[in-house]
Amino acid sequence: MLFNSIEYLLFFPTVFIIYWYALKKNFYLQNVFLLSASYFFYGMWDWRFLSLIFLSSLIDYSVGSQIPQASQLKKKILLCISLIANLGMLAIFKYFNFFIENFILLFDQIGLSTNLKVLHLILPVGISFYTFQTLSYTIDVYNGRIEPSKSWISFFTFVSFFPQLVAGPIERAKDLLPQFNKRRIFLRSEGISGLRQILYGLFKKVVIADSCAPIVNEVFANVDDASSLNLITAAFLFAIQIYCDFSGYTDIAIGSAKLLGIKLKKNFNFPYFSRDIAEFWRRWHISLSSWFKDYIYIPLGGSRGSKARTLMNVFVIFIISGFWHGANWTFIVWGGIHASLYIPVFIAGTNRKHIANIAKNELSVLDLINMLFTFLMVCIAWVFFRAENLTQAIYYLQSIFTNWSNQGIIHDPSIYLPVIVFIIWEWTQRNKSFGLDIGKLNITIRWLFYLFLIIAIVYSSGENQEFIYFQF
Amino acid sequence: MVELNHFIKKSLAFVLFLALFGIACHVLNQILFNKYNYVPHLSTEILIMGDSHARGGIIEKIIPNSENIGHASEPITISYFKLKDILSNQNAVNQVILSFSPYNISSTTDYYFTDKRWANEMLERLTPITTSRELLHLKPNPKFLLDVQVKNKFIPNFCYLTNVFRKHKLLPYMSEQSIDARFKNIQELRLKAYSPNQLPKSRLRKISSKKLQNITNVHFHYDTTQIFSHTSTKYLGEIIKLTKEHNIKLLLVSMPMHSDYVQKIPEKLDKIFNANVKRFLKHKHVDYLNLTTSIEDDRYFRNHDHINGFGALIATDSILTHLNLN
Repeated sequence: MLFNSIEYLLFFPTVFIIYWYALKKNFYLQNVFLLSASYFFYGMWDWRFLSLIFLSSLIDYSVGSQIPQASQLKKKILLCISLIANLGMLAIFKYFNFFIENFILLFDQIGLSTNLKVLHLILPVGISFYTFQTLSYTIDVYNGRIEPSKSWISFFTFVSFFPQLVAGPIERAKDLLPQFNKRRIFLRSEGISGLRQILYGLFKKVVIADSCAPIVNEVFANVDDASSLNLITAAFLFAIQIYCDFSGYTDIAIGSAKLLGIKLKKNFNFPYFSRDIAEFWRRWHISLSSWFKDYIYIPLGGSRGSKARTLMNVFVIFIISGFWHGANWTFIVWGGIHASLYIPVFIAGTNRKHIANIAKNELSVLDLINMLFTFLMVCIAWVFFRAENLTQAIYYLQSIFTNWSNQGIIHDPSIYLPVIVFIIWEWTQRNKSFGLDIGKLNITIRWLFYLFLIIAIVYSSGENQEFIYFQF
Repeated sequence: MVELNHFIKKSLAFVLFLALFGIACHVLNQILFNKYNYVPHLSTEILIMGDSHARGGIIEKIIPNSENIGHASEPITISYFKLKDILSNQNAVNQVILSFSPYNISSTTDYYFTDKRWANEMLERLTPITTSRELLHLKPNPKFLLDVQVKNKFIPNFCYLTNVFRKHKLLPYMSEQSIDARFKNIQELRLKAYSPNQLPKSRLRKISSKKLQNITNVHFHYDTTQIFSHTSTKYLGEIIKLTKEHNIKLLLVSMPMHSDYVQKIPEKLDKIFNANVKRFLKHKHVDYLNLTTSIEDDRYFRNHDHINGFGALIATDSILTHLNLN
């Protein structure tokens, strides 16, 4: 079920009414209901893959409850079971074919023939998100950071909570699990804020991202016919598309959770207004960056070792981050580009430079120049992220310099005005918690604003486009 | 509980506000659909209708007192409702030219109101000129129908709103430019069109056979269980009935196609098509002109099933000759 579908428009209010009116006195029953609703939500896509979520939840719940009493050796074995099970699922469904294809290619190049065959597997939606979420629970229990969950219903609900099940934010057990273990209280301010966030998320997805998609798709599919201007525009529009698509999803997820009395973590903080790549990564897909930091970067030694070791750790994190997105060299190179942009900042020791500026809300001309430069670099990296393969990505970037004389692809120019207005609006909202945090405005203006957004959403709606991050 | 009830009340108030806005828009849009509808010029006697073959292949500048209101991918069903809507207003139309080829009655056209690929656009084209009951007769996909109805009726219909400010109203969603815009000096171009050696090289060679296969697959093999469309045939019958009622002559024209494309037309569909033509010709006001294989040279084609501007000049001249308007 997609957030931008009529099904969700019917599903969510039904869940809301039952959850708050019929079950509000018993949080245990609310959890049972949320779990059922979440499984129904996921099952609407493909019920067969519910077994994977169930299995992942079951393994981590069992492992988690045994760890505190276990000996040191048994603890390690239990942790390994969880790691093997979760990463194994990821390896089979997401990465198996990638490794097989590359082995075949390697063997071919050294003149050996192989009998290896790729499998025709469907990638289960959201597998990278929920496996990381359950893994973090087991690791935290293993490290003694949290107590194991006493209720399997709470734990299973934590893993499969439908607003964030398929594309995050990747929640930590210490933040989300306790919320399922106590009575939720409905706060009107949170409810209204949640509705606003859902509306803004839908606007970003349906009006901006889905309108950019046809132009981006056409140009990436016809690089030969495209002019340099087409190629530059499409790269820019893809940057806007992926941001609006993913942050739009996150807004709807956070907003939906707020309406159910659950607080999810912030995943985006106006990332394209970052002054350097380090700041970008503090603002983009925050839940994933912090996951990698806590569960890979710090266990690898973080910045405690030698400079070389630290740089290696940084590099590894970015490569893994790229690989997490998909089984394709393009994602690995995308991660590599970000690493190569981050490492100089890190070496110069300026990776935390702008934190104070953000807090003080200070902005200079140099900051603006830095923002534009960072955005440009991010756009270049996005070309690798969007391309089918490395050859296409390199050819795309080369063609920007060689296709000036091409007549180019003519497309509907009506998308540019909404995109420009959207960027200006985001700029004015950059210090707010999300793009439509307009609670302080007069009620008439607010309602007219909502009406405008609803008209824009209805006007732009058509085919329900899937969210890009579902594929990860 | 107090907070929740307060929230629900406020949300319901907003929903009520939205509903009132939607109703107001619905009333306004209905006025727009009825009052600011497309009306041909009072001097227009000949209406050129059909899909891209008519839109891009028949030049209204050459045919006196004509208007080309064809539209890419337009199924016969939509042509019928367009014509019905136009004839319900004052007009001087006495001749309709409708492009008509086997593809127009192929089973693919049955999917125009149900399939993700076309339904949204086709239902959008129909909404202002049909009643909800007429739309339901086409058995559209309910999800697309709901989406299009909300979009076209319950929020301001910007596309139609522009008609209020235009002297000559446009049919909604007819953004495609008529081929006429490209014909500034017809005599000069006509001379060129009749001297094939002066024409630029054909682009057809660049169009791979794979593309031809793809297009014929969509045109003729989209539905493997059925070859032709009962609905399209039925609505063609309705067009014949409507033109008879209004004393209007109807010329069905099979526009030129490339021989490679013609070979791919399934024999069974071709037979049904010819049988239908025979049946329609029994009506005195119906005439048929077959230009399918009238042009052979690749240089007159823009792709396998569409002629280019020079091809259009020749095809339009043939229609003129047929109508004795030369």
